[in-house]
Amino acid sequence: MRTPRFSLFHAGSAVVLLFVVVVTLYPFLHMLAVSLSGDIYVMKNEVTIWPKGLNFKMYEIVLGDSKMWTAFNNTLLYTSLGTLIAIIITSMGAYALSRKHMAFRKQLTMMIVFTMFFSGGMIPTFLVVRSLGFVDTLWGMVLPGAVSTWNLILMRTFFAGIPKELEESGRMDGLNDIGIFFRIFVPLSKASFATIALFYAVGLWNNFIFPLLYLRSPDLFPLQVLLRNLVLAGSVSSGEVTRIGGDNQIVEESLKYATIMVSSLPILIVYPFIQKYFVKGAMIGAVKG
Amino acid sequence: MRKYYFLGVAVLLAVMLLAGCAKNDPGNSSQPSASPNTSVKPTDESGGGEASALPSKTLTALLDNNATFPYSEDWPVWKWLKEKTGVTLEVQTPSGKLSESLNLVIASKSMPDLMYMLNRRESNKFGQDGALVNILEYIEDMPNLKKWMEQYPEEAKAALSADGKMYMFPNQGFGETNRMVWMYREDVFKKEGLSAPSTYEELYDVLKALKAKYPDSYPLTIRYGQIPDEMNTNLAVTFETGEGVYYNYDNNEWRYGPIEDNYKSLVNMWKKFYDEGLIPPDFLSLQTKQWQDMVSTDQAFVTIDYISRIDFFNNAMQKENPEYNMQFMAPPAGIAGGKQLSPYFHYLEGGLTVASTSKNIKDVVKYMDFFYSEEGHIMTSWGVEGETFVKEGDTFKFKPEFTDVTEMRKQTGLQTSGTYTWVDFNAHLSLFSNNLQHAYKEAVKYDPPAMQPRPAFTESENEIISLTGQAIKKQRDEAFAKFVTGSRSLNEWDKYVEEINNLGVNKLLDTYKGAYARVQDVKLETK
Amino acid sequence: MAQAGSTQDRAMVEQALVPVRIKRNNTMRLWHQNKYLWLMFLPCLLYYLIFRYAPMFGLVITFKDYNLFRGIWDSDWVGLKYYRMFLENPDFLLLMKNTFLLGVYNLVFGFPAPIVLALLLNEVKGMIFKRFVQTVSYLPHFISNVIVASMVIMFLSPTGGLINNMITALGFDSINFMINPGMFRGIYVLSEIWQHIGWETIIYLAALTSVDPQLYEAASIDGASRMRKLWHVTLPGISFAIVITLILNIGSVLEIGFEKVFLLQNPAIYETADIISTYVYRVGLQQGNFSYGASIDLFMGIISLIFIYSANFISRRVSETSLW
Repeated sequence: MRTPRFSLFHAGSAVVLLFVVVVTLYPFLHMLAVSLSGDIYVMKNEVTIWPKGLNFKMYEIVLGDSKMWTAFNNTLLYTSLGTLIAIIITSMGAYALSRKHMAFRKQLTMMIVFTMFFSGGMIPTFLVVRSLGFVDTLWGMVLPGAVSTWNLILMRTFFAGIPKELEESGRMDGLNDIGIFFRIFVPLSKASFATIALFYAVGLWNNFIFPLLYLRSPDLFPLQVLLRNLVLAGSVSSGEVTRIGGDNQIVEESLKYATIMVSSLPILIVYPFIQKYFVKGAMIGAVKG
Repeated sequence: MRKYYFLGVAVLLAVMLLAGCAKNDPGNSSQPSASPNTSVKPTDESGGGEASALPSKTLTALLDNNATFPYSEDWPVWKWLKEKTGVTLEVQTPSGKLSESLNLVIASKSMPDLMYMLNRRESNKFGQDGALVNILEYIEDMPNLKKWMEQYPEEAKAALSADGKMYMFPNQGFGETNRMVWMYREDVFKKEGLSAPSTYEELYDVLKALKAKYPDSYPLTIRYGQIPDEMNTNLAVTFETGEGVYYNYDNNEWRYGPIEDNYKSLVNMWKKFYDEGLIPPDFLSLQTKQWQDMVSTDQAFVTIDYISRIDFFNNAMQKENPEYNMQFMAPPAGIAGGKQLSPYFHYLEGGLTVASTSKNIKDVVKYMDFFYSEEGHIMTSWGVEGETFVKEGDTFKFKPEFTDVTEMRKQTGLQTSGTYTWVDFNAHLSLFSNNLQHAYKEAVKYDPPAMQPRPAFTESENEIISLTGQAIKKQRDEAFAKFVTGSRSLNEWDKYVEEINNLGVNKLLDTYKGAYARVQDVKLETK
Repeated sequence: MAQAGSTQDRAMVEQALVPVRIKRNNTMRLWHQNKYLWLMFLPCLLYYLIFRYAPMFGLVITFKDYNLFRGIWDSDWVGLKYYRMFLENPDFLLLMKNTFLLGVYNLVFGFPAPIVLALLLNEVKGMIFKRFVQTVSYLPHFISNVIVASMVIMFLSPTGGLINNMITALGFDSINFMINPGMFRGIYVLSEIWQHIGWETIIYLAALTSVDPQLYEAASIDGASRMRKLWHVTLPGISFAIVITLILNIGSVLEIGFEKVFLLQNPAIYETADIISTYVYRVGLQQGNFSYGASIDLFMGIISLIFIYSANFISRRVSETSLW
């Protein structure tokens, strides 16, 4: 019996998904509109999805600073290098852990999970990194986050989910573990590589803790530091920054939103290119073939 | 697919090489501009002869950075300071919040000579931990500061720690912008035939009248959700009590405000406002944005906030509505026949400190001494005569290119972090609108007799204040919220007083009394 | 037969050497079997040793009165002082309860949400629509907590917030959401779901790619309905991802990010909204008291470890998947 073209399920699912779209898209469009609107309309709360009194003042402030472009380049460097390092180390480590026959597998996994709950804290970690000479260098941005336990475990799980036959056929072909990894597992795991790489990239892009701890020279600062400082300065209420009692006239809301747009736009542009890796049954051909 | 992997590794190596090159790039602008800052200005002025005789010195400093007027090493103020003191500052700015950077810099024991800190609690703590120099030990090298302390003994005492040492350079003159005042829409009041209230009873009547005419409004709106502590103080003071432990100048004793009868009157009044829709029902979570919206859209007509908000709203709104007129309002008196009072917020706690590990302590203190001289006072407030300001008789006036305070800071670097201690506030005042200047003049009339004493605490006292104090504060906040919104009946007032007392109010009071007594005994001994 | 004698000799020598060979063989075998795997794991291991384990010496500050300037080793020893301070706090039980309940609510409602969304997306035939929904759904993930919190407060405002506008339009009285202690957890969890649901579907969508399409075809041939396919093919196919993520989430149930809770709370709702991290912020960190904050973290870490250990134990008994 042929399933009808348009069933109740389709209708219900469409409603739910449309709801999701509205609920997640509307606030974003609203923020975009506010960031482009004249301050009086923002103050009077008259902006919904379309900008009123279109002006780019906020973006001028955010992008106009020449330091912003240095910062942007820095972020690009840190993100790409950091993701690359992270994905290489994580994938190899995850693969090793996913092999059930690996000796000491259980102990190593426990050792790793343990670090999710106990950490030396900000200052001891800083002291360790400092003793390695990484402070105020790009390595301070790129190495301390090289492995995230969460991502490691996830990737291990993905690798473990790949059928054993593939590994066995690799061994029959005379490959060692490294060979199996590169020749068989990597090509089949496009989706998981894409996912984990995305997680690392976004984490690095938005990271402001590492610069706080490990960077000193302003020309090494990434985007997030500048943006965060901009918002902190424009926010009259944070008594922490400088108790100058609010003698600045920037309407904070528009500024905050403009900074969000600037910092999230690049990731939004990149993501659709990654989506193609989320294709079903990517690895099935290998089993049959 | 192996080749993709190797490609990745190759890219990695290439990037590493590039990065290595970038790191060695000598174009690092964090390099000190120790190269003599050639000031080629032909209008070079007074004191030129003296300046060229001063030995050149470079000191390192960690200063705060405000993105509205970001740190620039090209600022004229650095040039002027160098001329007068011979010192060039190699400045480091935080890569996040200043207090986080301070923690790291101190923990790593590689502290710059000078460090700016935001409050005395921090400087006292670090000082007592051993990280900072006791400035009083070097007072003989600082004749200007010594004289200044005789002129401003209260400010000097406020800079002392619990052990009688001074870890932070004292300041004066700058806190004025921190004033919080009541303000009201004079245009709307005029239209409705109302006049500014001077008591809470009058305030209540005015608010009711406004609510009747504008039923969708909440005539009195404050951004309580954003800055609850400041708001609590503002309200408590109008009822001649305190929002927590406070020093009562009438009786010369420390009291705990929230259990006093005056405080009960405050809660009663506030509840009345809440019940009758005169304040927004969600005032507890009202953030800045919402409050701004309400004040700009005629949904609120009376508010309390930082004094500069007067200009903030007038400038923005008058473009569309020229009638819009936000004016200073005298704080209403809460007690019948009582005083109209504002809280004493106009002080600044931040300042510079000297690292105990510094190799240049003598040079540092000599440099800082300049700020307390009359010359330094004028220069760090106004700049240089002819360049940034002109003298009209006895009055100083900024040159017209400095349209407002932010512009002035951006262009000169004056009054930015680390460039002032003793400031002539008229320098700021002169750049304000007439409206705002009027507000400042008026506000002074309602100042309390003196600043609330802020004695420095020892570590064990601090612990009590943290733990017991926090528990009491939480109880107070919860009770206030529940009484006003009606989830707790005011009949339970006595029970509430008992509960809060049981949390240790007396212990807290004793702590303050002890610290205060200690401060009173301290004479500004200079070794 | 010229070799006969030496062959015999050789056999005798070989026999004598057997025990030694077996021992060498075991270690050798271990090495041979694992050397590549260990090599691949090495960078990871180095990372953990350097960046995670080396700094753990810092945990000793929970037993010391940490003086930033003097350093960790030279600070005074105080033993269990800070732990005692924490446990003897009158609010301790309330804070633990609030933290725990908030975490559990978040888990119970927040965990299945992205799975459901991922499954719905999986069923969508139109590629463009599917990609569009997916991309849009993770936009909130990039909005900082500060902004999300202020959005939530404005949204729920009784004086003009969207929700109350709708409520009053229907003729009811407006509800003051943010001062109602009973509503806080619901509000928090919903805001968390809204903010993270799209992003969290990414893992499941990736897992879905590993399900063999032929299994679906086979099921269709057998006449299976959509629901049955879901139950018998899809869910088992991604169960490994679900189980592991669940265990990890159980382990972090107490680690509620302080920022959003802090921004959403106000004194009227402390009884449900004040959690350990917001309390620590007010008392520990604001006073620069690292030792106190660190002791609390350590204490919470031990509890979380117990949680994850139990979750893993149960999972091992009940399913094939487990963390270790």
